[in-house]
Amino acid sequence: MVYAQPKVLTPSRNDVLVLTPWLAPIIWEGTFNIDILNEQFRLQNTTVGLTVFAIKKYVVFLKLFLESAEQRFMVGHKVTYYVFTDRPADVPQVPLGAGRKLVVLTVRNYTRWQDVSMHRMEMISRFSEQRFLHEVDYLVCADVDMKFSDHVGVEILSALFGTLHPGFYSSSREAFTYERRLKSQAYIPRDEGDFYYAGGFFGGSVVEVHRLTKACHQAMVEDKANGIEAVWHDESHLNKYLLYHKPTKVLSPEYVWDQKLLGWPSIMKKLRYVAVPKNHQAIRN
Amino acid sequence: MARRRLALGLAFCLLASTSLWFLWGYVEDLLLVSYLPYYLPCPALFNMKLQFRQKSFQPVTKLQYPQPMLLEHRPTELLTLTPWLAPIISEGTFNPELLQNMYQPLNLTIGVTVFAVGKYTCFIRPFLESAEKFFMRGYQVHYYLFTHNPAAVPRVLLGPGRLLSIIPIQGHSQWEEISMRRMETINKHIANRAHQEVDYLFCLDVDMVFHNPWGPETLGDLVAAIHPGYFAVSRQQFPYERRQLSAAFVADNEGDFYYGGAVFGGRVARVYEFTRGCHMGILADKANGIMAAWQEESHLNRHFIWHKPSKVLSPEYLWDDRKPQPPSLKLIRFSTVEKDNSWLRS
Repeated sequence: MVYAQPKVLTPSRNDVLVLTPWLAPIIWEGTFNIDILNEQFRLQNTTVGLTVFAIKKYVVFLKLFLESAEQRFMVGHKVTYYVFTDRPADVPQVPLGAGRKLVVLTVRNYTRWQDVSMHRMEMISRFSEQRFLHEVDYLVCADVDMKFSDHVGVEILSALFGTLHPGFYSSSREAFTYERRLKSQAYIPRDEGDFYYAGGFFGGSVVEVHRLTKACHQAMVEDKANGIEAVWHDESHLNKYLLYHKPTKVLSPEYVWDQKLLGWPSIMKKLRYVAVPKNHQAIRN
Repeated sequence: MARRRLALGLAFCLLASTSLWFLWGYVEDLLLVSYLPYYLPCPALFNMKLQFRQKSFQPVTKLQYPQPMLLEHRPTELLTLTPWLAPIISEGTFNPELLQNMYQPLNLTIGVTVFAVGKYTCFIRPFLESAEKFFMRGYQVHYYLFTHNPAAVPRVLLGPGRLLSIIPIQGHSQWEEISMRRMETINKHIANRAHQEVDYLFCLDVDMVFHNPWGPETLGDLVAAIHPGYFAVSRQQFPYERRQLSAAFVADNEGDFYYGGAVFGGRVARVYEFTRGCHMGILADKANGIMAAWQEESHLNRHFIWHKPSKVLSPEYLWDDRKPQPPSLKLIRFSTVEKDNSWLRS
């Protein structure tokens, strides 16, 4: 394979940090050569699972999510979409490319949207053990009210990855919306914290995702028993987990963005996975 | 008349072929590198199913450290990430306390292979003494010292949890041979012992000294170090093996970095596979009567193009003291000892 030589004295990006202090790569456009990575992962015959929850009215997001994933998510690699829904009949028929399949997993719904969001951890944890371990190598856990607007590929895959929340990538740790009440399992003191990770896009190897989702679920059960609910629900618990179990890759906000709220700053060379406009009142009922 | 012609013709052919045969024999001796007789090791040894030690990650304990600054206003001088997303380790890219916090609880044992054959035994003391000060402080370390002359190994005081094993090997009159056999020796050593004794293995040259800390920032699945002589030049100028006949051949448009043969390592399983690959290349070359330009370093470089390292050490980890230290390299940790090659290799 022919490609340009990497230059030791020329950093790939000089406007952003590309390596965390614990030596996890931070993935920005320009830091990676997708051809080298594609070859490495194809040689392993990598299969990627993508979990997405479409509960109650959220089924309406599935078509655009899946169609855009077909165009941009792990193209050229084996993919299994795991669609968790309480309305299997409403899952749209989206034509899938070669080596890609869709599995519908019927689950219960919850009345409160916060509970729907939080119980994703429990469901992913349970299915990881039962199924995902035998079917895929990596799991990507994504929000459904989004679309893939640019390439999202094997550059994200590693043992455990989190994504920088687009609202906080330039904030200092005191401003992160961590859970700040000591009573909660998700509590993080003001002088701790590396990044604020987004609850809508995380993943890793099946083993590590299982560990993470199980730990988060147990922490949420504990919180419920103590009569407290973390300020940002599963996202708060995710942040607690990733503080003490450092991710092996961190994805830049290119991988979770909201163009309506945040525009398109020059630091973002690509917007890969973006929010789809939604009416919060209507959709959350 | 015709029969006479035939007889003459046949005699001429016989004479020509005989003299050509003699000529070839003479030229062959000139062309071939003179190799010592080399036994082919049992192939089964290279492909053994070994039970490697397993470790899983533990959570970090609470630690106070400054928040990582995502939006750098000061450009870094060195590339810190390869195009295949392997970190390039240099001072300032990592937080040593944080890494210590993450790795210490894993109770790891780090192995080091080092070869001291012939006059190279004189380097053992400075190597070991400096390693005791700077190499993987706070971890269990097992030095595997391969030498033809165990009696020449000096007594060096080692800290707690640190062991030295002296393993006798055959010496050789040709230094190239000694150098190249290391791949096979390391591979067999892993199969015989190291896979049960250590989690990570580093293979280091002995004619070097540690000057600054070398810690868990260097641990990875497969680790290479950038050669200090070639980090600022383009790949066409890398001293790869350029003859197509060699198994170590690298074309002009190939290559990422030029890695030094003096430092490589990783998880024991990966080092086992890597040394096997390099050694097979060395054997293939022997069969074809060729020796790569920089011996096993050429094969190492060929293999690191195919099997990219998961972590790359900057020239801080493999320096040449004869070179002036550039401002982009902040902390030289491991570098060559001044030596007289002609005396050493005689």
